[in-house]
Amino acid sequence: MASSSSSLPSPSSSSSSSSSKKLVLRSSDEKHFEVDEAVALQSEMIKQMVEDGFGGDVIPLLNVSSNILSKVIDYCKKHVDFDSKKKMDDRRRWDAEYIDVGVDELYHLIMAANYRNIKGLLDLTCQKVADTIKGKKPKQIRIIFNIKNDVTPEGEQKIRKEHSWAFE
Amino acid sequence: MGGAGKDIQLLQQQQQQYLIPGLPDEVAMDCLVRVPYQFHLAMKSVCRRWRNLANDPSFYRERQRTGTAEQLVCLVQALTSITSAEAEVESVIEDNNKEQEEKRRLRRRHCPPVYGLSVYNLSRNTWRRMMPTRGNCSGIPMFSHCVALPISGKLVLLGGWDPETLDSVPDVYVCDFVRGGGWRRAAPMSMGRSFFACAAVGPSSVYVAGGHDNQKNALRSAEVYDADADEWRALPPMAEERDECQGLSCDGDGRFWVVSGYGTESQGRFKSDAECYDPALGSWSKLEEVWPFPSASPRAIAATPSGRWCFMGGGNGGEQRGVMEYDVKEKCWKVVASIPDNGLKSSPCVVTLRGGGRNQDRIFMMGSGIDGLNGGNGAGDRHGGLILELEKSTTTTNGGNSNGKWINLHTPTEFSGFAYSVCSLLL
Repeated sequence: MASSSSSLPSPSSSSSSSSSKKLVLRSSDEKHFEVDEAVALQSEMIKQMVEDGFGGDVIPLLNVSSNILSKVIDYCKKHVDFDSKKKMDDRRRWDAEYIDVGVDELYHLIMAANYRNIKGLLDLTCQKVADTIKGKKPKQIRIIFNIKNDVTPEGEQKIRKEHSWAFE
Repeated sequence: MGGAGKDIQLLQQQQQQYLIPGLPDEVAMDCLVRVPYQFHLAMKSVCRRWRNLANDPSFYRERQRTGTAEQLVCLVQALTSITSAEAEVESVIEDNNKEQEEKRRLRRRHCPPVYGLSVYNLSRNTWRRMMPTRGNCSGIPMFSHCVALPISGKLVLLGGWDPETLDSVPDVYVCDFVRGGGWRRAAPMSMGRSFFACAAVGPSSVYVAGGHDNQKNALRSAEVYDADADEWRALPPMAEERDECQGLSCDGDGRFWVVSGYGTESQGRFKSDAECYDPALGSWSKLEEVWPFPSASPRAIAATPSGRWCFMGGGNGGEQRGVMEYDVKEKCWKVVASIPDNGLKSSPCVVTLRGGGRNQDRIFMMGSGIDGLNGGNGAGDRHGGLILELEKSTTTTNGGNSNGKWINLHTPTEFSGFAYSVCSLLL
């Protein structure tokens, strides 16, 4: 988890001396992650905690496991990097590769992004769910998201019939 | 027994209580609002909760709030498969012979264009066409008016000419873009009417006034449709006959404006006044000196949600060329932006887009005869979509020709036919 990007500007201007200030995050399974403050501050929740004076302590993340936390930190690091460059194509390519995960992992990332309030990651993960629904048949959607089918075949027929003549 | 059944039911309900099992509903909602409109049909077949969600106008409000709503522009448009007959159709329109047989004979000879409802999805840049499912393929009434009821996501199609007999029809159709169901025939107007003023006022009312009847008589009459109750109600008549008048309304103002138009005896000479119906008073009032262009049709006026009136002047009817805004105090039209160089061959149809930017109004225009429009070959009768982005605080003092920015929209050939009316929905 060591970082080489010590020259990155920190969004927090409270400290005048050093921009490579470190924060320690603790996952639900008691693993510790040392990250640059700039990386951790991608999370609005952590930013709030730092502003409230928690910065010097270990920040506990009670419902984020170490493997998800490490993946979330990957995202935040990369995006601190991207923010300083502005290469949209690179960012899109990296995001697409990053989010190419199974539904279980995707849910964990969504929950972590939601809980820690990381807007970019929440956008990316929610969009992934929507993209997964795009162009799929109802049956496929149910299987992927483990949704119980409570629509009768007649009901489904009716919906299809109602819409089938809406567009040429 | 009954109690056990209830328990099972309750259990089933609990299992079904999440939109996406494994995610809190609030987060699932964040995901589902991002699914494009074209896939909502599939969503509705997944499970009851998804169906109820995608059938509820609140889902579309949430899409608007989160910026995921899609902008749809709906046009009553001539199909282009028989475009070559379009020029000849003009003679049918001009023809005053009222004999049905004669009309049929003309129709057979000139074969007027079939009209359909074109739907341009501005957010996805896609064009689609909706046709009614009546047995014949003659399309929707020619020159019918389309009006959007944005809150309920409904589209109302009113009046126009029967494609077979070319008579003015009283027919009304409603299409619900939220709940589906395609075209539903709604309660008709009290009479056949075409080329009338028409506008949605408030969440569910559609006002119509003027136009002409089956005998080409210009009309003073007016009526209002309540889309929730599917009922028409007569209004007091206007003071003047107004054929080819323009109807306007704006958000938060309950009034209905009817601009210009002409009487039976003065066909083609557009009046300079306007009338305004105020439902609170139940009566019409007249405004003088609104329309100073006797040879220009007022149909190219768009009203913005904030109450601005913008007119796309082509310079053909003696008016100035350019985008003109009506100055209520000085009772005159002032140019606030220019129009692309080779401009408008005929009067375009225009509509203000919903959900415009904070500092600008966005007006959609179906233009024509713009050289090079959509890579066209300069053929004048090719129509194409354009968007005008107009600053909200235009200062007209400096001539102000730089306040507008035009964007050319890619318009495929199938969708480059003449468009009579247009409306906008945000879904």
